[in-house]
Amino acid sequence: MRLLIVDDSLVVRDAIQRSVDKGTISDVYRAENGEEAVSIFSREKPEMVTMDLTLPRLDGLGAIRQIRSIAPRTSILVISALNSHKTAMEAIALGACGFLTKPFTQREIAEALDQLAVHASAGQA
Amino acid sequence: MAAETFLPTLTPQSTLAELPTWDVRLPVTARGDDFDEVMRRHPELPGVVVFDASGVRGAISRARFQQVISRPFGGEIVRPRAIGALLEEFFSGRAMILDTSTPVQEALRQSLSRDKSMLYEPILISGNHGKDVRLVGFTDLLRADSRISSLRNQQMQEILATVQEGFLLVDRDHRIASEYSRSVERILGRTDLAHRLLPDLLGEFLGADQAELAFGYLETLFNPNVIEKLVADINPLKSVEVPERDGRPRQHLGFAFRRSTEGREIRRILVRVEDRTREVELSAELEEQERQAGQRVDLAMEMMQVQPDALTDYLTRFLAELAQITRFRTHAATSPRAAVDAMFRILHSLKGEAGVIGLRTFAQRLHRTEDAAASLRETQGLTLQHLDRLDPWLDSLRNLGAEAKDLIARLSALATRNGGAGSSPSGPAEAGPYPTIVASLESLITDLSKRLGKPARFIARWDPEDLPVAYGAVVREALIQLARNSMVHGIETEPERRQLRKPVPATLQFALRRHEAEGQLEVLFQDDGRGLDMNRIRAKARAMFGHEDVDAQVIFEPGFSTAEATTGDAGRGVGLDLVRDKVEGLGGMILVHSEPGVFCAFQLILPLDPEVRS
Repeated sequence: MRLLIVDDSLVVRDAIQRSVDKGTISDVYRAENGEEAVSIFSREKPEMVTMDLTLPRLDGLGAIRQIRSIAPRTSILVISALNSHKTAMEAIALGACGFLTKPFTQREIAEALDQLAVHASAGQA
Repeated sequence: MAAETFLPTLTPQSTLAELPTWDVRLPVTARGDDFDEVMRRHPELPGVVVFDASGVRGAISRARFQQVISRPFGGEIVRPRAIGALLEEFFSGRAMILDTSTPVQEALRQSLSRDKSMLYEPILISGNHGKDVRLVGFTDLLRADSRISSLRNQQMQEILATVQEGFLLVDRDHRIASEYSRSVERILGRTDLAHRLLPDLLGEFLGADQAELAFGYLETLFNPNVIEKLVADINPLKSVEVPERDGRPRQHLGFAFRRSTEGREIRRILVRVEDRTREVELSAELEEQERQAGQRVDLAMEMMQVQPDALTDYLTRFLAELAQITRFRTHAATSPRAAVDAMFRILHSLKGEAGVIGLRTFAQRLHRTEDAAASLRETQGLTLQHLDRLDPWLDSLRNLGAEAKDLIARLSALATRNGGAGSSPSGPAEAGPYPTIVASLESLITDLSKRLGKPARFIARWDPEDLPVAYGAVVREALIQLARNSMVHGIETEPERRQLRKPVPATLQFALRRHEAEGQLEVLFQDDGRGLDMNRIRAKARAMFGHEDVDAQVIFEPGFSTAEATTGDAGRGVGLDLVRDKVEGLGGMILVHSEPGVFCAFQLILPLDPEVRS
């Protein structure tokens, strides 16, 4: 299973990557804006993505839309501050399968990634 | 007086003192005729108190008297005779005397336990240590009891109506299923919920925006691509405030959602509706109380850390300047602007000085007052009325001054009692033994004890001679911090301790021991409070470090103790990590020992000869 981490903050990217279970996830890709995320995604087609919503160039919602049009079964977890319930639900309607609010603890992110992996393996089956 | 006129003031805790009483008395020598006459003159009187030289002998009731004289020859026997004799013969069984502090319901229970023939007799109530004896009619007692019972009932209903939860199910179309908890109707103040659309229903009292969010969230939950656990964070109805409506007060509601699946299909959503009004209001109230107590604690802490002379000087000047400001305020009529300018200058200089000597609370409050004065200076066409805006701030400064003065008086009283000038060793680090460490701690504990409502006593085994001068400052700071933590977090409130059958007051112990052979000095602080809650500590460790494999010593890790502080006691004192740093800086160490519910102890070990430390 492979994971693409999309966040414009280096600290957050590192925090997410630290919690990755190396037994389940073999490769991790990282992107710091929406355009980069879409370009890495089209090249590598990872099964899982964590997506920030406020991103430079192309925002998170736009990136989710494009990723889902490339591979509709991708498991996408939004990791973002909850600025608006409406945006959060829009992200879900576009195809994200969960939402983890920032700030998160290491335990929360690790559990969320576990569930995302279960979701992804069910989706591939 | 009619019973109804007093009834509205009754509460479930009411005592006999609140009932209407009668104090018409007759001596034992009065005759039956006299009694009859009194009864005729006061038709509402239930009876009279009978007394002799030694005091109250008993009571005769109207009902009983009527009963006796209606017997054959009753009148002839009773009317001419002295009522003292009648008391013995016809009104047997001593009148019941209850203290005025007896609760109404208890009084009724006792009066119902009287002999059957006495059942409807009035009862005597005695107040003022038995000097004042009066009558209470039995019917008044009954009426009061019935009123109290209905009040109790009402309160119970109110509690039932405010603390509650209920469940309902919604289908794929967001329609409410016909089976739902009746309590949901009570909580929402709506009936006939079956088959209604949940978002529409919520929209009626939460508004269209919330209705739309509820709709969106239900759609999210019915979306099979969504991981249920990973959308709990975005539940828009987790805690919502419902404004006043249809004569119902403001409410705080909480909605939680859970999928109900059949196979892989999400068939319905179970919704838990909870009325959290009381909970939310209580916690807001508690926060406010905590905040106020916290501010007073801040002031005491600050004052103890300021050089005593500087503190006294500052306060003297503060009070004098405040009096000056009051004079400007009083005579502002001639030139409001000049008065404001003068007040502003004084406030500004007082603020600067407070900052320099470290009186943060003073500095902050002066700063806000100065702000208010500054905005007045910019006001065009300043009049006397404008100056009213300054008054609340000036009042608050006066209160602060009074409180500080009171604290200083207590601090110096303690300093004198605990050795006073000259008797403790004074080196450069402890310049002026006022207040000594023990005095500071005692005054801190006394003060916190009062303000937090946690009775505590203080035991010190402490010979100041044993403490090297070089350690004075660190040991003082450490113990003040530990004692404060203990009083705020460790020691339970008085009712809690009573419930746990722990002794009241709580005990805080300080000890200083020299271990010459080991070359060590030991400073010990122990309380008999809650002890450390290892579950909470582990939970915090998990949040901070991602694992919970820690022991109690973890509380000295940077940020660990102050993380606690950000919730309720923000910004007070230093964290335990700083205490440890300072102790370690002296070549020592600090250890914590605790047993949940029993004690928490801190042990500071320092090298006896400060010169030896590396």
